[in-house]
Amino acid sequence: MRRKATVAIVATALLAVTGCATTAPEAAVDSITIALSADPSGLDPQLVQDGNALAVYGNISETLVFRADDGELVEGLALSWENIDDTTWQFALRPDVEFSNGEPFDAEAVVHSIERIIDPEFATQQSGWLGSLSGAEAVDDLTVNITTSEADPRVPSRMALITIVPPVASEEEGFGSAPVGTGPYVLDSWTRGGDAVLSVNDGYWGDAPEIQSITFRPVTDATVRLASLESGELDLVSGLLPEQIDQAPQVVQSRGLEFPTIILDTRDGAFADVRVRQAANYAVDKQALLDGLYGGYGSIASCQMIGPDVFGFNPELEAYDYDPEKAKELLAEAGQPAPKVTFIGDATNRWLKDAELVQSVASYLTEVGFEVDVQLLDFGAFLDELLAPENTAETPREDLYFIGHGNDSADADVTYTAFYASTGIDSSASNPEMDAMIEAGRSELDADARESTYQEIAEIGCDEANFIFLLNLDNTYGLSETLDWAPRVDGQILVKTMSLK
Amino acid sequence: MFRFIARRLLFAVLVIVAVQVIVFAITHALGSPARLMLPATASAEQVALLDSQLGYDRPWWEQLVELLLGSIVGDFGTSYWQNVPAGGVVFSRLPATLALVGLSMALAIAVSVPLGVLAAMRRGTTWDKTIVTISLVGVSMPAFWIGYLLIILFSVQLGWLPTSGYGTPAHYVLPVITLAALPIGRLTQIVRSSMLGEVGQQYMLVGSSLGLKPVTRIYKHALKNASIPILTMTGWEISRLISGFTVLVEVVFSWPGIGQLAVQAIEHRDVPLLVASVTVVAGLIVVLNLLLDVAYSLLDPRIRTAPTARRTSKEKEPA
Repeated sequence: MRRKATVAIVATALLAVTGCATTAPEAAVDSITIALSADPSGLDPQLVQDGNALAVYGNISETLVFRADDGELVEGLALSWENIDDTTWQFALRPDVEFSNGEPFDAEAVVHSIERIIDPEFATQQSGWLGSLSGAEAVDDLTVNITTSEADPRVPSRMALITIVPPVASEEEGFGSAPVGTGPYVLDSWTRGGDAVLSVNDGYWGDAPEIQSITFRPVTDATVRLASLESGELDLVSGLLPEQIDQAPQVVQSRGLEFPTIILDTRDGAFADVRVRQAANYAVDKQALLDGLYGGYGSIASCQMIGPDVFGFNPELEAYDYDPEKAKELLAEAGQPAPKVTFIGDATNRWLKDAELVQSVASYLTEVGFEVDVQLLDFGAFLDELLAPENTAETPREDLYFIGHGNDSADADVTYTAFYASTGIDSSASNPEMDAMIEAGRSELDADARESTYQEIAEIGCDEANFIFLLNLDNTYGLSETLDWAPRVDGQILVKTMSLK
Repeated sequence: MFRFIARRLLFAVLVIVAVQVIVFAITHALGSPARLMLPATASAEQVALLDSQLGYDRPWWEQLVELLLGSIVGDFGTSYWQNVPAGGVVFSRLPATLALVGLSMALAIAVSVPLGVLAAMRRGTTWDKTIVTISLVGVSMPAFWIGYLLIILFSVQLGWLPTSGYGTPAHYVLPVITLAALPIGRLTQIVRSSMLGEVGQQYMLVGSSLGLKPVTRIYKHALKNASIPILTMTGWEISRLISGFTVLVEVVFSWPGIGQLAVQAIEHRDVPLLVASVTVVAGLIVVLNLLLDVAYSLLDPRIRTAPTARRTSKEKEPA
């Protein structure tokens, strides 16, 4: 009798629980759920440097300049721009645009936005995008001058990154949890640690998006993200491992901005000799790495760490072949058949499969004669070592350093300043000629002249082989069966371009 | 009794302060938080600027004193990473972890006490062996593996429950079961061995000869005596869970709790947030232990009426 009662109680409890379960996809047909890899640190579009935050506020706030799918700068909140003198760019603004809270979008809003983000008190984490921006001035309601302290050809591309915020709402305390923008969606609610829900902005100036409502959900575990995609709870997932991605109902991909690269220290040690550096490049089978580690989702970098979507890309260059015999020859020529080198990598998987990549490259190097000591450090220690100000010619860093480079400004100046200039953060070279070219490119206002400068830098860089050039990884996404979307090179998730089949 | 609690509280405060100092020292020594927040291409000047805007580059003793004093009133400063008061973040995440831990331990006790008693009563039989095996499995299987299995079965294949997240009662089921597995395993063994210790005692035999029913003998008498080690173990398990063991389950199920928060604070080198998390957790554990001690003295009269350490000269010597 007691046993029957127990069974009955348990059965009822199970029924009650499953009755509460939300199993099927969202109730509204045109609403989707997108996974985030972690809770966004905040939603102030000018403050944080966080991919998960960007996924959310990128659908709420907009910039003066947009990037087309092919990377071209096109009109956004501004209709046109021109460089009126060395340090001033004039932007003509789009008329009849409002923020979703009713504040008008005009030159005042732009001035306020620029002043807010360059204010040292504001302490933005996006400072890397600002360059020498010094201020803005309204010429009339729909014309604004943006000024820099030095000649800066990159102002339009900076305006593709800097968000425009409403002057009144952005000064209120809760703006970081409840952002307001000019974009196609507005924030309905955001629970920290939980969902962010967006719905269509009825007053949007552009084409009405098809998807009516978006839920962004942090799902911290990659395996669970895949499981949620399969169970129908999620419509879009990024950051799936290459081995998992084929299990998704639908896979889409695009060329990406990520270039895993290895920095060679040219000031001291085995890699001071260019032949040894070239040998390292010939030693690695990049196709095998691409297929083995990344499931083929990517391409081989053409002897530069930027891709065709970055301004300054050199289409003529070709990657070093996989030629271990040539590598051994070069080592013999340089009189170093068995160089001993130290290889620093990151142990915490900050970049996709970086630890495995480091180990694989180390084994290729070993095959042609190098003796490699691999050290995988905790990410904090790794960054400190890599970027320590003491990395000078007198006290250089270790021989090989792995780094994943992603140029989200789509301008070669960012990459070359960091990698080729002798004071560059990721640089381990000292080439005054190169420094001069980079300086020139930074302030050259003529686009064609700039482009050929950068292409020349790339060619020299390829021959000098200060780096082991490896791969260009694709952006891959798992989608549900019904979602229709072509991903962007810059990895931005813009729901206004999505539709349901 | 009062003096006992007061002394324990004083000691507890010292423990919490020591924990705060250690955590602060280690996190601070890890290095610059700005370095991690800015992109890798940011220059050294930009990093230094953000560090000073966060208040990270002030003299360490100044920061430490500010944190220690502030924590008395619950002001832990502003989180570097989230840019909001650190104390607020921790307290907002606390209910999720407490609910998870509370329900898991309740489930664990509800399952392991009957199982452990059953195993002890039917020692040597198949029942006993099965139960011991089950508890071994609970102790050995990693939490995230159990979690994945449950998700694949109940969410993906059967579609009965959501895969992850927080909100409805249905969201609690899988995480609670996953987290309870290890305590169930351990507690079952403890209950079993404690009961075995009691069952052989003389008073049980006396009770049986007096005609007391088995249920009375077991639950009212033997279990009560066996409960001290069980209580100790339960307290230990709860402490372990609250102080971060939940992190595995919280990450797998995207459960917005303290375990996950502390790990992310470490990743971001967010000193205020980490000190806040640790302080709150240490405080909880101290309170928990205090309650446990009180519970002991209620359960075991011998503890309650034990002579105090100091005998005054006025006390009568036993005749």
